[in-house]
This record gives sequence, C-alpha cells and structure tokens, in this order.
Amino acid sequence: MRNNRLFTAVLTALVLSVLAYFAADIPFFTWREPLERASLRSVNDGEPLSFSYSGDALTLHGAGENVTVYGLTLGGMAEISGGSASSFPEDSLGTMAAVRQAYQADTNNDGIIETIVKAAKTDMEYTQEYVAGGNAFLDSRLPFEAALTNRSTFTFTLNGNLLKGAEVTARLSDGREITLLTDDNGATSVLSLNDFRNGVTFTYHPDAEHIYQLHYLWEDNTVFSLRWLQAMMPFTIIIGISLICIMLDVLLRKRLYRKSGMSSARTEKPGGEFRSSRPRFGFEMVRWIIMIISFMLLIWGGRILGSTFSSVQLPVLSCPYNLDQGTSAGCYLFSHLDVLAESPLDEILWFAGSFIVCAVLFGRLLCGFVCPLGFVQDVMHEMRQKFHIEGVPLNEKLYAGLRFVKWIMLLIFLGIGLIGGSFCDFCPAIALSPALAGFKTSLYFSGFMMVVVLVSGFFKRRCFCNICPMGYLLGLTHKVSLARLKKNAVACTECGACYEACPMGIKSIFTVREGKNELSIDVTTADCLFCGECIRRCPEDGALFMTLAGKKIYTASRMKFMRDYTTTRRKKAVEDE
Amino acid sequence: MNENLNITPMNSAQVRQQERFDRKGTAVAEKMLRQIRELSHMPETLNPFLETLESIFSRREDALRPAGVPTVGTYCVMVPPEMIYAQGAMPVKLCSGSYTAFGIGNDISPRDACPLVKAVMGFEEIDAMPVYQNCSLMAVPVTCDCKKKLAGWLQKRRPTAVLHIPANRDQDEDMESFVGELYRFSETLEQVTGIPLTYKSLADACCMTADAQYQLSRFINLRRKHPLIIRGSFSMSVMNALSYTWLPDWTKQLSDLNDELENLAKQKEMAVKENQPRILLTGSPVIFPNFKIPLLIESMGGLLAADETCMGERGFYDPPAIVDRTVDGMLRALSNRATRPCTCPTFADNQRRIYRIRQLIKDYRIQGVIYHVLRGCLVYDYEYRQLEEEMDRLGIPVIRVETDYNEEDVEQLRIRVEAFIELIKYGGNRS
Repeated sequence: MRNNRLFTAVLTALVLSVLAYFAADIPFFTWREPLERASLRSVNDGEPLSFSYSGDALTLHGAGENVTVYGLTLGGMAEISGGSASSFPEDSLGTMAAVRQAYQADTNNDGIIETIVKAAKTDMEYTQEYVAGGNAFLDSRLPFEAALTNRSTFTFTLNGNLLKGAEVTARLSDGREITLLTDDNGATSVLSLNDFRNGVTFTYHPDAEHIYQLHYLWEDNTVFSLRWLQAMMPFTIIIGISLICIMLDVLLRKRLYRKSGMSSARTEKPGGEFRSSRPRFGFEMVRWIIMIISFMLLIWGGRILGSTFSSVQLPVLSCPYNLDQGTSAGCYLFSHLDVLAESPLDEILWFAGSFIVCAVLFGRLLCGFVCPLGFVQDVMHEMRQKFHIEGVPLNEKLYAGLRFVKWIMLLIFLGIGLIGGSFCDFCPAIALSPALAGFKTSLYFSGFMMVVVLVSGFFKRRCFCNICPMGYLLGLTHKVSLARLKKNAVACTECGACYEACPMGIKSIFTVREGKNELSIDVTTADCLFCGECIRRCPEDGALFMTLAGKKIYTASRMKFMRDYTTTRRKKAVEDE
Repeated sequence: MNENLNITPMNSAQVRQQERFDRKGTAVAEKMLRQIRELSHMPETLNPFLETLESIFSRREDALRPAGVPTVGTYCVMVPPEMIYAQGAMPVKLCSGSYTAFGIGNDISPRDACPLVKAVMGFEEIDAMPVYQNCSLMAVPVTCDCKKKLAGWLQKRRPTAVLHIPANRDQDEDMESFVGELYRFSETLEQVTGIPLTYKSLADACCMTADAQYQLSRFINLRRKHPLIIRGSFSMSVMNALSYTWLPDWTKQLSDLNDELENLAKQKEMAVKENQPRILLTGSPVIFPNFKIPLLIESMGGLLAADETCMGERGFYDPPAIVDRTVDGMLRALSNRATRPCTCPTFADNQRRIYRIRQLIKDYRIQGVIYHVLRGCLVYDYEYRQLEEEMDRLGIPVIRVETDYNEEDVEQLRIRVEAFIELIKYGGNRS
C-alpha cells in the first residue's frame, strides 16, 4: 500500500516534470510567425504618408515615386524595393519606415521657404515586448524619428542624435494637438497609450527653414474587431473542449451510477431553484466587484487607463504576454530566475519590492480578490451551481494529493528556467489574458493546462488554486500579512460548514479549539485566499471573523446566514440585525 | 388500526394495561398543560403550541397534516426532516416522556434501560396513540445502546430504517459514511412513499425548514433578552410541539409568537422580575409530558433562561450550510449538520458541548446549571463530571438531578431545586 502510494507520487512528479520540460514541443495552437504572415503593399492614393493595418496586411498610403520604404533588420536599415513584400525575412525587426524625398515649400506663409521631410513609421505588434530602448533606425535617411521605448514613452532623435529639450507637436487621430517637451534623454511620456492607438503625427520645427513630420502607427488590436476575434480563437477552442469534457463527465457519471444502482438522486436532471438569489450587498458582493474590476484592469488596463504601471510586478498569475495589462506580472521573473539574474538592478528591486509589499500587506488576499485565473474558476463554479450539476467533493486524502502536486508545480515553477525550459509554455494563464486582450499568442502545453483548469474548476471550486505555485509563494508570509482570519472557539459549534465551504480544504479552521485567547484564535493559514466563504456559511454569531489591519471587516452572523437561506422576506429581517 | 393487528386476541393483562392507560394516560399530560397555563405572563400566541400537545397527548389524535401524507417516526435529532418532507412524508419525533407508557414498557425491558426508551416501547405495546400507530416508517439513528436495541425491537414490528451514527466526526470519512446512510435512508423512504428524492423536492423541503429555522433564530434572539421575555417552560413547549406539527404551520405559529414577543419587548413588558436566578437546563432530553423539572424551576422562583437538550432548542437549532446547490451537496450539508455540530454525548469526543454551554452561559447570562439525568442514561451521566469541572472553573454552580418517569420523586426534587435556587440567590457570586 505504502509502496503503491510512493509509486503514484513518483510517477506524478515525473509526468508533470517531463510535460513541463517538453511543454514547448506539445503545441496546442500556434500562430505563424508574425513576420511570415505579414505582408506589405504600397498604394498611391493621395492620402498623407502613413501606414495602416488590416489583419496581418500592412498598407502604405500616399506612396509615390519619391517615397522610399525601409525595414529595420538586425543589420540595420534596409530598403524594401518596390515598397511591397509578401512576407518579411527572419532578420527583420518588425519596424517599417517610409520617407518622402525632402522638398521645399512655404507652408506656413511666413515668407521663408522651408525644407520639409515627411516620413511614416510603424511598429508591428510583436515588437511591443519588453525591448529596452525600443526599435529605432538611428539613420540619417530617416532624419527625424520617434521610438516607442516603453508603452508610454517616446524617444525622439534627429539624425541619430537624441533631441534634448525640444518642442514637438503631436497631432492625434482625433484632431487634438499636444505640444511635447523632451527631457535630457530626448524622451517624453505625456501621451497616454490610448492617445496614439490610432496613429499620431509628430511635427518638429527646429528653425524657420526646416519642418520634419513623422506619422507613427503602432500595430494595435482593437477589442471586438475581427483581429480580436482571431486572437480569441485559441481561447474559444479551449472553452469548447472544456464544455465537451464537462458534458462527457456528466454523461459518464450518469451511466456509471445507473449501472451501480445508486439512488436516483445522483442521476437526476437539474431543475428548480430553492434559494432566494437576491443579491445582497456584503462581503461577497464586494469581492465579486473587486474581482471583476481587477480582471478588467489586469487584462484591458492599458486600454482603460491609457497607461500601465509596468514597474509594479503584481505577483498573480495574470500574464506578461498581455502588454495591455494594468501592471506587470511578477510570475514571469519568478519562473525565469535566469532572466532575473541578468536584469538591471532597478528592475530586480522593483520586482523584489512589489513582491514583498504585496505579500506582506495582502498575501493570498490577492488570489481571492485580484487574480484573473481565480476569477475564471469562480465563474465556472457559479455556472455549476446554476445548473445543479454534482461536483467532486474532496476530502483530506485528495487534498493531500493536491498538496503534493503543488510542491511539484513549485519546483517546476522556480526551477524550469534554470534548466532551459520556460514555465510560460506550461502555465495556463497565458491562454487567457493575452487572448482576451487581443494578442495572438501561440499556446503550447498551456492550452491543455487551461482546459484542466476550467474543467477541474467547474467540478471543484478553485481547484487550480490548490496547486498554484505563485499562490504558494504569496502564502509564505501568512504569519505577518495584514488580513487575518480569526475564530471564537467558544461560539463555534464545530458544525464543519466552514470546512465544507472552503475551496482550499483548510481543515484547521474547523478543528482548532485551543489557543492563547479562545475568543480570538488566529486560524490564518498559508492556503487561505480570504474569499470569506467560511464566514458566509458560518451560522454562529461571531464564531468566525476576518480582520484587515486589526479592524473587523467581516463577521459571521446567524441572522445573516438565515436570511441567505430562508425564503421569508420581511422588513423585520433588516431590523433584527 | 386494530383490525390490522389481529394476530392474537389481547390477553387479560393487555386489556388491563389498555384500560389503565385510558384512565391515567392522559391525566399527566393534562396536569402538566394546566401547570404550564397557570404560569404567569403566558403570551397569547403560545396557545396553538399547547393545543398541539393537548390534541396529541390528551385527546390522542394524530398529527395534523395534509390528507394523504404518511408520517415517519424519528427518534433522534440526526434524522434530517428535510429529506422526509422532500419525499412526501411528515416526520414526527417519537421520543417519549409519558409516565404511563413508561409503566407499561418497564415490564418488557431490562431494569436499567432508560425511561425514554421504556416509554416508547410502552406506546408500541398498546394501541392507544395514533401518532405512534399510524407511522409508515420508523427512523432510528443508533445513538446509544438503548436506541440500538429499540431499533432491533421495532424492526420486528414495523418497517424501520436504522441509521448508523459515526462515533467520531473529525475525520472526513466519518461524515461521508453518514452521507451514505442518508442515501440508503432515501431509498427506504422512496419505498414507503413512492416519491424519489430530487433536487427540486429537496430544495423545496430545505426552504421549508429554512423558514422555520429563520423564525427559530428570531425566537432565540428574543429569548436572549434581559430581563427574560418568555419563560423556559413556554419555549420548551414550543419546541416539543414542533415534533408533532406540520412544519409550515409551526413556522406560522412561531412567527406570530415572535411578533407578539417583539411587541411585548417594545412595551417593556418582560415576563419576570430582574432579580430571579437565571438557570440553564441541560442533560437528558426533557420531553412532554415529563415537564416536572422545568415547571419546578419556574415555580420555585428560578428562571429557566435557556436549555441545552435535544428535545428543546438544540433539536432544531443547527441549519445545514448548503454550499453546493446539488442533491449531493445538500445531502452532504444535511449529513454535516446531523453529525458535526451535534452535542449528543453519543459521540466519543464531545468537547464542543462544554464550549456550547459556555457560550449559552454568556449569551443568556446564566447563573446556575441544572444537569438533568434520566435514570439509565449513561452517556449524559458520563459527561457530568467534565461539565462540573468546567463550571467550577467558571464559578457557576451546577447540580446533577437524576429523575425517572414518575411523580414520586417530585417532592424530593423540589427540595433540591429550591435549595439550589436559594444558593444562587443568597449565596452571592462565588467567583
């Protein structure tokens, strides 16, 4: 028996490790390389010189004989002959520029003839990763240039030299004009992400005799566009597979039970509703609101806020491949310790600082309130509740199994980067967040993992949270974090409702009876997500309560419990409190 | 009923028993009801509950319920009423407190068996109580030795479902084994009523008990008022009436009672004077008509502020926490509710009962504890020592009162209870 268990454990560890290591060789859904699928054509339609995107096709408007098109390659600036290409070579860096030959005219009627250089520049989406310094030609053939160094900073150069303390006018696509002043690094961060999503025209007028104009466009997805739907395809497939898995499971169980002659209750069709499902303002609703808001911010944050707090590395399993998320994700550097070691010191400090602050202040509260992967699992759970499909109740033994898997996941999470793999090929989060934000991200084993997360989350609430390595690291500080879960052992009747409700299977909350102060025993554990389910299901006044920085924020109450449970609707119910 | 049981003609002893029961059986119930009604400050809306007890024990009628609904006799708090209602039957709690039935059962059971089981056997033996005779099924959880033998004895006479109760509840397997018991119980119920357990029916039944428990929670909140707003004997009558009342009716009655009590509280018409000793009654079940202890406490100038007995508040106190809205989830919640918070001393480890009593002492400002032991009720007797030590620590006086189902010990009890109340009144606070 013991040997048997050991064998299972070793096998599980082995299988998971091998899957993680070779995750990149198990594709779920891969996109063609962006350079390969992109194409370029030039049209002379009389419009101002500018690029535009349609799907993967790039079009240069306003092209003419005196316009030259360049591409940035590893070897530097290279001319693209004829201004058209059906795909780009591998050494391309995904940045294109078109320059119209300088001409002279008096455009502002001040009596002085100006030399005018008009140009257009674009960055393809896949260049928008963390490229320090951005993509710049730094070539005299493109005299005035703007480079997007990070998602809110432009660096301007003139003939390859930084433009310091210069005034540049930006004309946005909606017609607004903003005057930018560059700093000592030739950079400015006045424009927000949303200002230049649809293109921006920079004009630099250094003296009376020169005018430089550059139209800059950044390949950008637009939510609910065709492009976005394309990017959503892998995630849609994942949802489809998950639904099929769930339905198969339900059918299979029905057949099994029918054969074994179990009570009819188990195979019965869903129907009917017994709980008055009036939403009531309280802890649960606040949690859902915060979850929805943070889900949106962590996925479309850049779009909603116009800028991202990219220095902050929030330690939750959102995904760094989604460049639109409100903050960076700390998971990347945790799983790529080799990259961390080579990072500049300030990035290491930001990373360590944001992790320590988040962990000490909130701990796994982030899992319960912020993590988008947790939100998706909660949605799956609610769906099961809606359809009254039997779940898979776990007991101590099964939780112990999950805990073991969690250790392996942690080992893989921290170690795989050091031996040359990438956790991102294995991590389920990459299937969710980039796709919803419209980024075409190839999925390797991650796609299968996401199916596992959805299906297991459907039958067992927050199943993945039980094995999440990021959550485990966050839980390490549970002894000092501000949120605390406490129990009044005298008021507690040990009815076990809290244990039954806990998605993490924390049993001590139900069994702990001794402590320094019986009226307020600290039952916070490393696993606790602070989802408040235990308090919601606790029928004893004050038997369980949650404190944040010493302040009671949520207390169990019998009347609250009963009001959730009863169908009696009375005004009195409110007064009773 | 009699034509169904025409196995042998009754012999003369049985005839005499029957006559004796007819003569005396109702007398005790009537006397207890009279004593309850004589207590001061009886709320008017208490009457329906006393009416129920009167109809069952004095007029010997069957439990009122919609036509065609069979009844299922249950013997301990572990049988979930939700399931019985869901499968189209009505549960009646048959644990008995009848002195006359005890006298009959005494002859057919061992000397040291507890009077509760003896009384049940007495009722089974004679065909005088429709609420017993008309049951289509008996559900007996095996809590103590006497219940186990009672289950075996009942099995020979009627359809009986025996529910195995785990001895522990901290392990998950313990609770899960009881879920299995409930699935089996559901099958037995289906054989009797022909109605299967479905999500809808169980959810509806849970709604029914939820409404009742909601009213009970209001009632408990009112009971905690200081000074007391309702006497303990009254609230124990309310809880005893629950055993024989169709649940929605009981909910309605309790809702009315709550409304009246709330009004009384608003007008500051409390039931008793402030300075009477507040007493908690715990231990073996106090079942109508065996109300001598509560009535003694209240007639001797004590206040029965709270009770911790399974035919009192405790019997219906715990709500199931339905986490998973599926049949299995609900059965798990019911199984959880039936085993884990239960303070029945049949469980090996029952530390939670001490905590529970401590909480009651705090909630109801208890000044003294009376520990009721029915003669032969070993499990409760075992726990007295533990409680005594704990109460000693807290400085709360406690006495153990052992009684049987007869009226002979009333005078002796009166002296002890009176002395205890005097002790609290004049002995000062020892702590």
